[in-house]
Amino acid sequence: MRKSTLVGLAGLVAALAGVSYWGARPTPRTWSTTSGAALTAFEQGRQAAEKFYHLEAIDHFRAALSLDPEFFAARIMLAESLASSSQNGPAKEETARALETADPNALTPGERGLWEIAQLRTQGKSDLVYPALERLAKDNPGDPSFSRQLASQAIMRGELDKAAKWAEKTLQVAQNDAMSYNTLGYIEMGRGNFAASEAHFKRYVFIAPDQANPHDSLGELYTVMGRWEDAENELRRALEVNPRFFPSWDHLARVAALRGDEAGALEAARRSGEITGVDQEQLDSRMATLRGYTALSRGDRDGLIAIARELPSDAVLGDTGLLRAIAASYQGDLAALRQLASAASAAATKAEETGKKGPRPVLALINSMRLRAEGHALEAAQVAGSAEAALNFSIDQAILKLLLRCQEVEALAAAGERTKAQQVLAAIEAVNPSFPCVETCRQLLGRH
Amino acid sequence: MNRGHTTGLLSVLAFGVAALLVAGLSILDMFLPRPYDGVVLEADRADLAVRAVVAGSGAARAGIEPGDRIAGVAREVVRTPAEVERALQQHRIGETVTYLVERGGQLVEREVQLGPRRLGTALYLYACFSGFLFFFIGLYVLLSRPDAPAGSPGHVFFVLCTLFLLFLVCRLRPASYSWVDGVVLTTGTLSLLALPAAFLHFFLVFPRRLQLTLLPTDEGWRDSEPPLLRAAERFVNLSPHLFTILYLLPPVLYASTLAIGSILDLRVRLVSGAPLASWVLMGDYLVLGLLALLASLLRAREGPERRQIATVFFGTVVGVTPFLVLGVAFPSLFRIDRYLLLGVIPLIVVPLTFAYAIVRFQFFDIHVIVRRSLLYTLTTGVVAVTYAVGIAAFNLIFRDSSIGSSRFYPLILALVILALFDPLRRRLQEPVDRFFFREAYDARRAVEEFSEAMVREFSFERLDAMLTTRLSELMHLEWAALYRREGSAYVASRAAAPLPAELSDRLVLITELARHDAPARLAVLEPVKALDHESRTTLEAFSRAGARLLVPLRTREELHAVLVLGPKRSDEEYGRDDLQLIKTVANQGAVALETARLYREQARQLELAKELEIARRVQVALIPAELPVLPGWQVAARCVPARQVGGDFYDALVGPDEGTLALVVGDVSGKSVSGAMLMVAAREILHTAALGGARPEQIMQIANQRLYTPQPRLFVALAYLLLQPSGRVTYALAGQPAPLVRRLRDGRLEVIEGPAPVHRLPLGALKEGAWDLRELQLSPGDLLVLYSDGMTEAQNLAGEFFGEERLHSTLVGNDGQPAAIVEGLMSELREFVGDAEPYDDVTVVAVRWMGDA
Repeated sequence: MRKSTLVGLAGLVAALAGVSYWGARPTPRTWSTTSGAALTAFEQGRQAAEKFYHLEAIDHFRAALSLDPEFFAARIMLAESLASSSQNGPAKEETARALETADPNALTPGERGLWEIAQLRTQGKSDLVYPALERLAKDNPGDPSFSRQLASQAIMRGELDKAAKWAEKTLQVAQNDAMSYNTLGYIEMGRGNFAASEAHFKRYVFIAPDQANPHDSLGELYTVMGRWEDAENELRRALEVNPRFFPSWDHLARVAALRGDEAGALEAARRSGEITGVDQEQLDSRMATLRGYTALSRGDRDGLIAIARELPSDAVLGDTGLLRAIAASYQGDLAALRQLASAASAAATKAEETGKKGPRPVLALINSMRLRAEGHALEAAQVAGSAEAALNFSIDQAILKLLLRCQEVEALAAAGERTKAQQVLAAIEAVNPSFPCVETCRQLLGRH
Repeated sequence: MNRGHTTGLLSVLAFGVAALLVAGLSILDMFLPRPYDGVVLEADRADLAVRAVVAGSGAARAGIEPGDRIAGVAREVVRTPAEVERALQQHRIGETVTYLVERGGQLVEREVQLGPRRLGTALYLYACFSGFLFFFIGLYVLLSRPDAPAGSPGHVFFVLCTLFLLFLVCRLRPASYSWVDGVVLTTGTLSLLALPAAFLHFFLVFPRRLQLTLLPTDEGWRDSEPPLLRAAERFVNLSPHLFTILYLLPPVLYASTLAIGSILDLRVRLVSGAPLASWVLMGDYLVLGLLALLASLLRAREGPERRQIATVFFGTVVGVTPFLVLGVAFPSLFRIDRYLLLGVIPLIVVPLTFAYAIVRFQFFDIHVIVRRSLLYTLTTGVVAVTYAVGIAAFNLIFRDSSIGSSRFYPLILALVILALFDPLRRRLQEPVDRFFFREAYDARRAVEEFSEAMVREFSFERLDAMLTTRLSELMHLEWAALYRREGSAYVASRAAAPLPAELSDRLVLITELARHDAPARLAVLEPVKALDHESRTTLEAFSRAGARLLVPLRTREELHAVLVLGPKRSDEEYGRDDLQLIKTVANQGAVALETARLYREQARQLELAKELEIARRVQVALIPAELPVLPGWQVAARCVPARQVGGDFYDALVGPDEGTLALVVGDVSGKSVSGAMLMVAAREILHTAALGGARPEQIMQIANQRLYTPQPRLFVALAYLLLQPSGRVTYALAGQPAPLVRRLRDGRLEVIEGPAPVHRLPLGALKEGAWDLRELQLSPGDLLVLYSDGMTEAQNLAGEFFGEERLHSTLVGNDGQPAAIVEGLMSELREFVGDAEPYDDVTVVAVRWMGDA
């Protein structure tokens, strides 16, 4: 045989061997357990947890741990599910046990990430959690747990775009991840993308129809959109699923108030109070606020002014501050507005020192009213308009946003900028044509 | 069939039956009703857009419409058709499942009641058809050679075909999410592991085991050849363990990949259910298999074998290459396995090519497999339908009768149907089977007709041609040679080197074959090598020539010929049917050879008889009707020719002197016409010499010279008797008995003393010779008798010779005239011989001197 043939033959054999080796090379495993049954139970637990069925998830995780007690991921996710179902004590115990028994060197890359995050949280190093999650999510693109946590962290940090990005990434690998649909639903609601928001919430409802939260979220969306009946239906469905789901009673009270149904609003608030067990003073304050909104919805200025007097004088932020400012505005009481603005500014500064961001839009609304009362209508409109951008999340913020826009319309109208006022009003109507102040704005601009 | 062969056959058949069961389970699972919503999705879109809704289906009743988009099924958000399918399979037919449907940008929920549908698609049916085509071709090959040894190409081919069946039916099915999936897919995966090994194995042994040449065979290399390469070459070419390793490697790779993954805490990447490594190895095996086939193609001789391999090679390349690209390379290199099925579709070309090779080139000697498979299925279907109609008819007839309500009715029905079913099945299948086996039947009939024709043939040459050339044509043999008995050897009539030209009948091999009543494989005769060196050499020569069978052609104990058969063109081993046919041919051939031999013998006898008759006539014509009269002498003569051996004659010659008469009594050598011709020649020579006035001694000399020829040796025994008027007799003897004289005076019989032997040699025996002339004086009344040896050597039935004594006593007792004496001798001889057939001519001449006239 010629040398060239031998070389060719050797090359062929080498190529076949190389390709064989390339094909045979193994890739890292995802989880450390060697028990197939434990892995199956674990995956079932993950799927349940994705859909917020935390009690079911707890059972699966415990089953996985009974088969393999050293299955780190199962224990750490058991702790997460315990925490999500408000069993904080057992959750902490499981986390501590997981960290105590785990050998980081024996863990898979994904599990080491979970271990690292749990370690940081246990050690109170919350500021290091987010960058660690970002790194882990990048290293483990197929694992939804890191991107899901990142979305939550981003929301807490007010980085809603990032939160949306991480939620979408989560859905790419776990298309039934309920939390991501919920997150995206709220973010799109805040962005005013109600159709997208509704789609996300409806997927959430579809995935977990026997949970109260998805119906409640959809009810919130419909409330923001002024679809009062749809909102009430969803909220009542949430309460059918879970009659003790008090946020839905609260939201139902809000819807009733915005529709001018004082009795309904007060009844829902009472039911919520029964569940949460708030004291009478808090309940009375809540009732007064609802009555104030009811009056606002009815266009009952005198009623609102009377109710404002009942509201606690030290509460300058939130619904209380808003209603008091509106009442003062109705009265043309500049001194009261200035006093309210000063107190609100101090309270907002104090709140921001503790890391809260919510008070600023309320302060902007009060200041806008003050400026308009002082005759600085254009500045008032500017302040109201600029504050809207910060309001993106939750029903309260959405209502506040609508109120700010109404204030902007009124300020622009007062400044003679009727065209701009008309445009802002149109924007409000596009969101919620049934919102209480909309009619006032229409009257102000001569539209009926 | 020996026990090992039976075990091998049963093993592969058991494997085939198990494969059929699993394949049947898979098909059943695919065509059992499954939950279905009635939604038809757009084929070319990935967003689950609804193209149509089946009227009356759950989706239609739920208000799902074309243009909608399915966003969720059964509380699962879905994005692909596979996810929809998987979600549906978690539910039962009749269950109501919630759908999330997007319509005009809005998501709505719909409650859909699931109806029935079968999962098996046209594509799956195609895969099943291909699989069963593989299987039945393999089965036919296997069953057509039931006595093939384990590991023969037929067995490997069947295993390969069965693995293809499992792969196509069990691996390429849509997931049904039932328990069957586990069993079937696992079987499919195992078949996937073994398939490439069987593929490579088959092409390494088809059409014969591939010989790898790593080193040249010339002596120059032998001194410096790398031992490792030589060992590798020997291992690949000879070791049976090669195939064991081939089969073990895939499962070992599979298991070791998983084990490594487990030990190193690594997750093994699976492609379509199998580790990627297994796919790559499969690709390696397939490529090597194709290379092996290519090598066989390049090495094949021109002719049918090469065309057959070329066809198989072409079909295999066309069928397997897309599979290699789409089924192996894509998943391995690009992690894309969605085109796997497209790679599988052309695989059907492989069995079709085999089928074509079978029909076109008698590949594996199969003629009717495709038609048989299809029509047999059809017939079975017809029978099954008939059976079903029968049951329905019975039920209809007896539904309302008391029989129908009896609890024994089902039993009675089953018995009745069974009783009717079997005859019906036979009635239907008989003509079909006749049709299926028509070509095989035709082939058998052709051979049988050939056998009959052979028996009617008496020409050895034509028989030789029939047993070699014609048989090769009929049975698609590479060659055939015939060694026919001629004397003590079996001479090849149709044989070329390295076959020996003839076989001695002393060979142990021949003795062994004479005891065989059936065709013998070369391997069976292997022990003979140890007994006889020449047999060993002969068998090795046969082996080198590629001989497969030695077929004795014998009647009773006589071995007439040995038929040596080379390989079949298909290179398949001779099967049971082949051996039976060959045995029939051999039996008929032996009878034909025996008949031809007898015929030739008879013809020869007839010819001889004819020649003898001619000779007899010549002899009679040459013998003078009357002898000349010489004064003072009475002369009588008689010659009685025998049937078997003749040549006696007597004649009268002109004497050298006035008043003399010469008588001669001769006996020529040779028989039949040649003897007669010699007699004519001798007579003419004698007459010519006598007429020329030659003296007696000269006559003898001339005749000797004229008759002498070195080859063939011809001679004439002659008694020369010259009668003179004085009663003197001069005589010379050349190989004839001495005359007898009876003296009148005392009636005593004298045996005349003859010359010394050296002076009485037959004429023509030697080139030179001298004959004594003796003289004898007779007295008046004395009798002289000349006779040929046929007289004294005549035998009766008891085997006794007439002899000289009986001759003498007969002469002594008879004192009549010479004619009477001659007649008396002949009469006595006839009486003595009785019914015995005279062996030789008998000639008697008697002369009496009567005194001076």
